[in-house]
Amino acid sequence: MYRSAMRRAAVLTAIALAAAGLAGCGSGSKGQAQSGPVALTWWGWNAFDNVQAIKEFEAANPQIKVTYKQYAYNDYVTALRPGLSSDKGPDVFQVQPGDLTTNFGPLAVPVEDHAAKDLGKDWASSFNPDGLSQLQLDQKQVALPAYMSAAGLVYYNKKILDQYGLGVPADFDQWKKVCATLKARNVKCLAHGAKDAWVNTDVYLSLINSIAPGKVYDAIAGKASWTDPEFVTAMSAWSELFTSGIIPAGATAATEYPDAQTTFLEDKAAFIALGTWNTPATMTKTGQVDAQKTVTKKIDGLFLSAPFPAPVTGDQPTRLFGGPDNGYAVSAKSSKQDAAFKFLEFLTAGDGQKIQAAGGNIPAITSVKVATTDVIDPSQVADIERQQQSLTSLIGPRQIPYSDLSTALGDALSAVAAGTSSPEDALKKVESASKSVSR
Amino acid sequence: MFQFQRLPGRVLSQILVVVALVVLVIPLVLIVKESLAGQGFTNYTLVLSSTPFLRFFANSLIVSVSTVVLVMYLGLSASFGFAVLRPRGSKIGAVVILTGLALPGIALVVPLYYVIQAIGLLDTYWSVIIPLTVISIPFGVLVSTNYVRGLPPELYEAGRLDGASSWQFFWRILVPICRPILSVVAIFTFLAAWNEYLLPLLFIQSTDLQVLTQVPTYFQSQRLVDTPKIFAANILISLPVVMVFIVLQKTFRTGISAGAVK
Amino acid sequence: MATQAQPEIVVSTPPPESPGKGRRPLALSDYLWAMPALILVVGVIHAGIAANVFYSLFDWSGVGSPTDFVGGANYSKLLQDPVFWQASRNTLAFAVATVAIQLTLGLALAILVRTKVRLRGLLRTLVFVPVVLAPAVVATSFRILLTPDGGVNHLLQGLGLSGFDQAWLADPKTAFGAIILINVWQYTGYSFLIYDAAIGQIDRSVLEAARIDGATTWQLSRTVVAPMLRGSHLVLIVLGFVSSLKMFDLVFLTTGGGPGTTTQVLTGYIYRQVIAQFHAGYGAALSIVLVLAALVFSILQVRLSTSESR
Repeated sequence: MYRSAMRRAAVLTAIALAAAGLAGCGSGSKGQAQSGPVALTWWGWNAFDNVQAIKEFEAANPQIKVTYKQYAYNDYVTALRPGLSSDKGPDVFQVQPGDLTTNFGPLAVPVEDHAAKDLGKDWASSFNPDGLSQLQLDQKQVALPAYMSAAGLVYYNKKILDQYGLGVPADFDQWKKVCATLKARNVKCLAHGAKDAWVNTDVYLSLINSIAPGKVYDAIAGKASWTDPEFVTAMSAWSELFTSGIIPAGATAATEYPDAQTTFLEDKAAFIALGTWNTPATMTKTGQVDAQKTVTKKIDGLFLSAPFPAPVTGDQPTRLFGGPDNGYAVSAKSSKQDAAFKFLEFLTAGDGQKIQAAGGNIPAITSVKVATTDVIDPSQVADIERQQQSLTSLIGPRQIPYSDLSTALGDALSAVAAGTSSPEDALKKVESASKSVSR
Repeated sequence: MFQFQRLPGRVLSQILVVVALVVLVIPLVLIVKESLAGQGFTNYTLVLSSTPFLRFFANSLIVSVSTVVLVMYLGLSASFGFAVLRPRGSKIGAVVILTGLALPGIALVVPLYYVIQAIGLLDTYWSVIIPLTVISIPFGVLVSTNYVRGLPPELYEAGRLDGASSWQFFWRILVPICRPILSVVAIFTFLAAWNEYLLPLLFIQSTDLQVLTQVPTYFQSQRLVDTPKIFAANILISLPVVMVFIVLQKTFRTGISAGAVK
Repeated sequence: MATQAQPEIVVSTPPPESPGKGRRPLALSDYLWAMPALILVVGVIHAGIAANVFYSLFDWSGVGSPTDFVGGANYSKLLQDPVFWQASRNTLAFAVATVAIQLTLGLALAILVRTKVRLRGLLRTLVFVPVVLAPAVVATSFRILLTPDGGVNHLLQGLGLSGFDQAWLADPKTAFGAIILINVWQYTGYSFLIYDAAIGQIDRSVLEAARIDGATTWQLSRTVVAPMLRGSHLVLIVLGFVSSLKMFDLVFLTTGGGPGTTTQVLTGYIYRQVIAQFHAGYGAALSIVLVLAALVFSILQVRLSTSESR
């Protein structure tokens, strides 16, 4: 059933291509010698400012029209499988480090050839090295980064802290005191959507990278055990976030977006554990206009970022961890690969990077600096520059490349948060999942 | 029918009805309230103006009505075969169709995609109509068969007296008698087709053919979720089905009160 | 339930649409009625089931073609998977609880609307509105209503019942119950509709005779009406069970199976295995287990309904 279906699909594709080619020749465009306009499909789950990107690209390339199709993340992963099996799917598709790269990388066209031809042999040197390495599969560059981001931060609302004479906590002890004061004033402390495994993982990595910097990456690689004492300490600290009230009740059923973010933006909570990608919504005027659409109260807090407080008093807080927030790849089944690569290069190495910078994202091309002209408050300029600087010294990636391990960790964190499992038991399950992964 | 209750019975019944109404209404009220948060009624106008709402509405209508017509006909025909004519193997046939209820959507989608792609129906209305019809047929057969079995045997005597062929019997006598159950099948099939999200998402690529369930996605990206507008969109999407129900409800009850056999 | 007389309808002319099926054998044209439905269902759903059996024999990521044949390994893995058993228990508990509650409430309401109470027309219409809403809409809406500062807790506080307010979906002790109640709220109207139609077919004279003997509404319902609705009970039980087995959106969009995996159900676990963990072969094996469970109920229903009509 399979092969004949595939063969028939291939035949239909060939016929469709021939027909399209004929149609293209027939429809005379405005006096150009080439065949008619090329239509590209672009799929993603959160392509930043795609409207602007398409507008600028089409203006510079009148022969190419791009249509963006937006999916919710889970739907995106579902749709991508069949979508990449024929040329009726996307020509350019969004990916991120981890599972998507591992599983869909083989269905992408490695960029080296086109990049060398269009951008010069030296194309790789203009990119942030982490941005490239986390999107590689089997030594091949299957995607290029759209922008960089890192976690290990908390964003806080300075207006609220100033109002009650509070400082930014550097460790859990200080944090608990701050939270106690806030609670007395009916303000929540750390807004958190514990239903989302990804943000739980970000927080856990922030904890373990403070307690034992870098050890978690050994565990991910199978060289350390998840049941080692440092991990237990980190997991106990995670549990403490819930039992001590730093994270309010009900978090296990809340999502980070929109629930926690809304709570934070509406001044109902003073802290939120998000990474540098939260800068546009909280520190730039244009970003905040978009964020305002989803929040009923007028956003008027003064938002800044700080390292995630260290769980153990006296320890250094975590260094930032991350890499490409997401990237783009060209489908191997695409019938318009030349045009697709043009678009890809625009997004990741061309003017698309300026769009990212203007929006407050940290570009993957190291020479392009984040714009700090659109900030809401001058004190945010230094903050943004600090964020961009730390992107050059990341301790490791955000994503765990093995889906069984990342799901097991997610389940463990959720169970400990809800109090249905002890830290030790939860980590035992993570360790057995880790052992079952084939590395 | 239960009209002759004594007072305590009537009071209790009245209280229960009121409680039921309250329990039903409160979440609905809360949902409407949420849809008016933020920009109020503008949420609704924005949903209608900033998405291809009407286009999607037309597409949903085409898909749903086609599915309903197919399921009504195929379901009742199969019931007629299984419950009235009953050739040998009917029981097996009935079981085979009923087991069609069993497969969860996610398990169906992967093989279905490849087949639809191979036939070349991808990105057409049929790519959604056919799976939806197939998914709803077991239910249609189940309830129609049950209903047809419950019809009085005098019905068939009447048919026999008139010397009708099975084809004529089906259309002239059975279908009119089955209007109530056909309404039920119609309502539930329409509902399933109208609210279907996954199939159109995967099988329809062009925006021109996309259906209403895609409208809420215009108001969410991974990091920006416009909840009030999503709620407003959902309410607008649900209204037509409520209309369909209210309209068919009358036919349904007229059918009952008119009696089954003349 | 009327006993089924074998109708001997004299077919003077065979049905017009019998191309290539031959006109002579009487029985053959009888088969044609169910043919289209059978072909469609077998061709799509059973073929889909077969495809899943096929995939379940491989260790496959779901991308590209399955190449890694492992035979029954997925099935033995499944039997030792604690999350599978937990999800199965949850699915079963959900099915039993929701079917039992919905049938009881649906029948009660169907009887209530036939008394002389006021507002019964409104109830008739309103009870179906939740059924009409898409499951995703209901799930998302209730997720927001059941947060600690959500509508439901506000209401409880307003009524002076603030001792009852909780994080309904976040607390493992209440999450599952909350999910069951949401489902009951949405689908009781479905049972109501079926019972309403069936009660309408009951011969009044039977009820009036019992009434003259002095039965109350409650006694009537229990001893006369309920037994007469056996057909409807069966239909609703089968449909209720099978649709509970297939329920996905409600859990996925409220708790996501959490906290941890305490509210996970089979469909959610299948989805997670296939989509998030790229184990499409294992997911297919899980799907087959689900199909088998549904199959058992469907066969049971057919046997019960045909046996009782003899």
